[in-house]
Amino acid sequence: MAPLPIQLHKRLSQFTSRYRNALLANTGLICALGASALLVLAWRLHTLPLPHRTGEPRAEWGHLPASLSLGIPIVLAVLAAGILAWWICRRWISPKASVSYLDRALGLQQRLVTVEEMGRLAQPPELYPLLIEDTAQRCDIERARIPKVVDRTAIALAIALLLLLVSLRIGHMSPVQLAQLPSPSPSPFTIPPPPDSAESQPSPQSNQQQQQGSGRQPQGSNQQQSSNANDQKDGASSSSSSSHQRQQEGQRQPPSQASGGSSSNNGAQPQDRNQQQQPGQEGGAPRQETGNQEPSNQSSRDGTDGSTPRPGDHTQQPMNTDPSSNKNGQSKQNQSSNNGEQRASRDGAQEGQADRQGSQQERNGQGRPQAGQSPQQAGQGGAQSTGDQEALKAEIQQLLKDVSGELQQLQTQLDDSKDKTPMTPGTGSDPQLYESPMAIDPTTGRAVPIQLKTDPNSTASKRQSGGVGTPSGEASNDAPTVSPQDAQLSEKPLQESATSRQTVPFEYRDVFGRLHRRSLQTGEIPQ
Amino acid sequence: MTRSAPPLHPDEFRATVAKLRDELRRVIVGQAETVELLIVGFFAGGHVLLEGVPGLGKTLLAKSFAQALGLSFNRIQCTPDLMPADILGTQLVVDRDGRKQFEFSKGPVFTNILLTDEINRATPKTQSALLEAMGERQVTVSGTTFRLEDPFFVIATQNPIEMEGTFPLPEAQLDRFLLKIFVGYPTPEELMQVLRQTTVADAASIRPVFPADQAQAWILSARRLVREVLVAGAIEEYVVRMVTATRPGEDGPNANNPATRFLRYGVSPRGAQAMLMGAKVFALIDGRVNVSFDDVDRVLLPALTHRVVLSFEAEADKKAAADILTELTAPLRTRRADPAVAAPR
Repeated sequence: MAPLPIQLHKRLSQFTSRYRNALLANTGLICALGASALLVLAWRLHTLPLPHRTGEPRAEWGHLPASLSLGIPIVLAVLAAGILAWWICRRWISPKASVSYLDRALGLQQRLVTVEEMGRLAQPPELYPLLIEDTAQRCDIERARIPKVVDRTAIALAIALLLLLVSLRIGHMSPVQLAQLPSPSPSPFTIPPPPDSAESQPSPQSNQQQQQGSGRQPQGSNQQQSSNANDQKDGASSSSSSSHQRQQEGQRQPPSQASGGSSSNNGAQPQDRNQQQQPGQEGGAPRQETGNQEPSNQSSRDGTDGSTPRPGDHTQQPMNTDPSSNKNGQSKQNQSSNNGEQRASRDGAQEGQADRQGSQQERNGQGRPQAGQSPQQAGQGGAQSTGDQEALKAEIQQLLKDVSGELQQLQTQLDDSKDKTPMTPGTGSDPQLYESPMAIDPTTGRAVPIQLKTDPNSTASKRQSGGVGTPSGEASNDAPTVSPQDAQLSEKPLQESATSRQTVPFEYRDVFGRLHRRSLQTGEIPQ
Repeated sequence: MTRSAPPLHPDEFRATVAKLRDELRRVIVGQAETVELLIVGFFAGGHVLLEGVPGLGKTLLAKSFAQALGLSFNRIQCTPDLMPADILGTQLVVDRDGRKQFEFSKGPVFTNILLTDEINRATPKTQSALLEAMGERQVTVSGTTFRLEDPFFVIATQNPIEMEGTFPLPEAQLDRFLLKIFVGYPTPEELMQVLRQTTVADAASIRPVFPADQAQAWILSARRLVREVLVAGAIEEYVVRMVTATRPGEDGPNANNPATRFLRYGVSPRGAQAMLMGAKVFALIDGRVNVSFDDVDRVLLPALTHRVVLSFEAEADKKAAADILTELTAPLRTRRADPAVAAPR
């Protein structure tokens, strides 16, 4: 027997092992990606905040129970494992199956199957050598496709994993962090420096403005707010579970402790804050102890803190609208002052995620202005003078007074309009349409206007004026008469002018020529 | 262990068949599938039945085929008054040396290629006279059996059954035909070429593909080669599944089974043999020494359409046997296309 069957057998074995290895590698990759995706999904479900009841404030929201947050991924894992097992069993090949697979994949028209089957016979047929030779010539095993290690399933799983990771990252971001993502055009809206907390009480409008801007612009005004207001505000704006937990814990704290002095750190615990403080600068002092410090103390402390740039500080850098600050955006001194100001307005959620702001840190470190940064923060860091702040403070107070006066005026107008009886438009009560109704005096003998009424009787009922009568045959005097009138010529002359002679178009010349000749023959002259 | 060499090399067979096909193409315009199946039926060792309306060149094809192979050729024009003795031969009284004795006069059946033109115009009695000749390749007259020529190949032509004055062939007679070939109308282009070839003074003539003294030996070697073609077990199972799928009631009284609904009788084992033999010839023509699924599919309808008996429901629905067989075997073709191993993406 020719040695070709041995070579063929060897090549078949090599192909089978290659196929199996590729399939196993592909399966391993899919398993790893699937397991990672399920783990991320489990963590995402675990950290998903959900309301217990409808209409419940977000601060009271809880989390998905463990039975669901773990059960769903486990069920998915079991299903995926079953599908994967079926899939592997379907694609796994034995040496015999590899023969039929190669036969089909290479278009050998059952040559390989026949070779494999006839080779097992004790006495191969006479045409068997010819078949082996023919098969060996056509059997290019290298052309056969083996499973790709990174196939469509793996790519789909990788995309799903990426999406889950992105959703996890976004889910952990607080609105403040989301707002601080780089925007194409920085917001031109700036808020003047806040009034002194000891002197001014914020009006409702200012509170509302602060709440709206709290997610974007942590300011000194926020620092003046009470701890309860801050708690509610941040509880409604934060979507991350970690910050949410801290907020809940912060709410349970007494107001003096939760307010943290001038900080807008509503739900953050002192431990969290201490973790980000530099040991040598803060001395590891609890936040409660320094929380009641005046803003001046705080700014001085922050200035000390800001001398050393820290990872989380850059996330809270204010938008530097000062030209000098823009130009010197890379100066460390400015950064340090800004950082010191920002730490006072950093909330707990941002502290917990300071390590994720690496990219933003770099951008902020280059002095790039961001949307959530306000100029007065930079000014408070040492750029603006106290006189400017006082002027701005007075201006704001004046504006608030004006607005409250206008509101009172509008409210008064609204109350007055409620007291008036409503007019029906288009009726006699509308003085703009009709005059006042004129009284009819029956003694003067004037004709009383006939009022049209609707017949109340039904259609089939007999009318009072109904009956049978005969026509009188006399014409009424009120009937219209026609008087003859002579016709008269109009005194106005006709405004007709002679028309100019027009050239006959070329295509109609023969027509007109025929008409002219015909009229000449018949003796008629065309008009 | 030494084994005898193959009787004929497959390449030689393929080349000769190609030459034969080209020679027939000189006379027969178009009808490529008909010519191909005629060659397949001949080298498979069976007989073929050509069905088509008159004037499509069935007789010309049979005569040309015999001429190209260089074999003896006889023709029987079947009519209702044709008797079996007119085909097989008869005993004649011969005066030899003053003594009268019976002597057998061979009929037209004693030839290599027999054209039975319009076989369905003959009476069933005459038709059945060919049963032994086609099946056993011998005839028995007055107790004496005579061997027929080897090769013996019957080409029968018939008009469609619906035409007047015809006697449908009995099932036993039909089963003796390896293939039933439907001859269709030529296309306009082919008809144009037919007119150009047949209405001129010098009509095309057929030349034998090999010398007359070698023809018989070569054909016998080729037929032996056909039987040597290798068949895998999967192919044999495929043929068996195809044949058994035509049996009505095979899967119980399933009203949805087309075989139960439209067929009264399924394909006989002779049909399976015909399928496999035809597939072997197709494999050799295709340059292979092994049968593939495609070869079986190609020979499916020519080998089986005349072997099934349609039910009343099928006739009422005007279902053709080819349509029923296609519907029956479609799941099998799909299943054999479905590999054991999923294709990698």
